[in-house]
Amino acid sequence: MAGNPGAHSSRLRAHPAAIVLVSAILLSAHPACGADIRGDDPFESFNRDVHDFNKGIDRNILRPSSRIYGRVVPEPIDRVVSNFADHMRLPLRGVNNVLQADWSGAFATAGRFSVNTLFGVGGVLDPASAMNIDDAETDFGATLHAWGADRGAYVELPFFGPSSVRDATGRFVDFFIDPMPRLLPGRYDVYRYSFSALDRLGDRDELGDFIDSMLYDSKDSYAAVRDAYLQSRRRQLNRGLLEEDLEDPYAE
Amino acid sequence: MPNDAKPTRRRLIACAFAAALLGLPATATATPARADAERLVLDASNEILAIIGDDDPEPVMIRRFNEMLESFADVPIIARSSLGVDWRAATPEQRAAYTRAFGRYLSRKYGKRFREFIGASVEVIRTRSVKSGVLVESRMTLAGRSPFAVDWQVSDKSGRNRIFNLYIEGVSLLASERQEVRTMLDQAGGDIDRLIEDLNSS
Repeated sequence: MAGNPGAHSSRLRAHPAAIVLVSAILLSAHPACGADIRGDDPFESFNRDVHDFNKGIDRNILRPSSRIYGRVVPEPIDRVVSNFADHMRLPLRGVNNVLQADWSGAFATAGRFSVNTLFGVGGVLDPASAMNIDDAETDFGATLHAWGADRGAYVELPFFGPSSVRDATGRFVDFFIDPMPRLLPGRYDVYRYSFSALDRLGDRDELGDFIDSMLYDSKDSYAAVRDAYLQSRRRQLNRGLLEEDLEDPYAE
Repeated sequence: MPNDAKPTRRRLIACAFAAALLGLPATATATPARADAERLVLDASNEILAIIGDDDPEPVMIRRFNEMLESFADVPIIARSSLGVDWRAATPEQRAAYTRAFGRYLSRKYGKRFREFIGASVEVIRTRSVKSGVLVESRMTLAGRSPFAVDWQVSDKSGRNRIFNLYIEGVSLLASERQEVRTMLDQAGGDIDRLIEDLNSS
C-alpha cells in the first residue's frame, strides 16, 4: 500500500534511526481502536504540565511578540513570509505524497512547487493558489496513518503543541526525510527556521482572538485544545467527516 | 493564500469559531430532503450576514442571534445533548430552565464573535444523506485568511428541519459544548441548579 518510494529510497536509507522508529510504530499498530476520538488519555497529567508550560510561553512570549509583529509588519510582507515558509515545506510534502502512493497529491505538490518557483519569484508569491492547484497539506504522521499505524495516545509537546504518538513520530521523521537541506546549499536550516518562526508569529497574530478564546476563555483549555486537535486531525486524514463520527443526539 | 497551508492555524480556529455560518450559492440536489437542508443552511447564513451587516450594538446583536437560533436550530436537542448523561438525572423544571439558560449562553458566546465574520462567504461543496439526517459540507472564506471547512448536521426529527450541530474543520460544536458544560458542572459540584445560575451569569 505504501508504494515503492523509488528514487527516495536511497535518501531514506541514509537514516536508519528513522527507519527503526517507523518500524517500532508499525509493529505497535493494532487496528482495533482507531474509531475512538475521545478515548482515554494515559499521559494526561504529564500533558497538563506541558500544557501549562506552553500556555506560559504563549502568554509571556508568543502572544506579546505576535502583537508587535502584527503592528510592525505590513500585510503584504506577512503574506510573503507565509508563502515562502509554505513553499519550503513543499518538497517534504511531495516525499510524503509519494510514500503514501498518493499520485494525484504528488502531482499537485510538484505543480505547486514548479509554478511558484518559476512564476512566484522563487516562492514568495503564490500564483498556484490563484490557479486552484490543489493544496492539501500532508506529513509523515499522515503517511503512518496511510500505512495503517494507529494514532496512539494523545501527547502535548513542549513548544509544538497538541500531537499524538503517531504524529509526534511523524514530526521527528519529517525532520530527517526533508529533502530541502540537500536541495539548498549552506545554512539552509537557519533560513527555514527563521521563516517558520516568523510565519508562526503571523499566524498567532492573525488568529489572536480565536486562540485567546480557546486558551484563556475555555473552562478547561487543555481539554479544548486536545479535543479540537484530535477531531480536526481525524477529519484531515480521512478527507472529510466519517459517518461513524457524526453526532446523533436524537437517537440517544 | 494557500487553501490548506495552515493546518495549525485552522485547527486552532476551529473550537472558538463554532457559530460560523454564511451566505452561499446553493447547488440543486437530487432529493427534497437534501435540497431542504441546503436551503436551511443558506437561510441561516443569510440571516447571520444580515445581523452582522446591520452593525447593531452588541446586546441587540445577541438578541437577534438568539431569535435566529430559535428559528433555525433545534435548541432543545442541542441543550439536552450538551448536558450528556446528566440530562437523565435532571427534573423537568431543571431541564426547561437549563434549555433556556443554555440557548442564551450560546447566543452570548458566539454572538460576540460575529464581527469576525464580516465579508465572509460560504460555498456548499457537497450534501449527503446520513443516518442522523443530512450533512451539508461547506467551505467558509474570510477576507485575507485561509478557507476552512464547515459541516452542518440537519434533521427533521424535531418535526421541522433544524440545524442541530456544526463542525469547524472537523471540530464538533456539540462535543466542545459538552466538554465545556461538564467542566462547569464539575466546578458547580455536580449541582445542576448552580450550573444553570453559572450559565445565566456567564
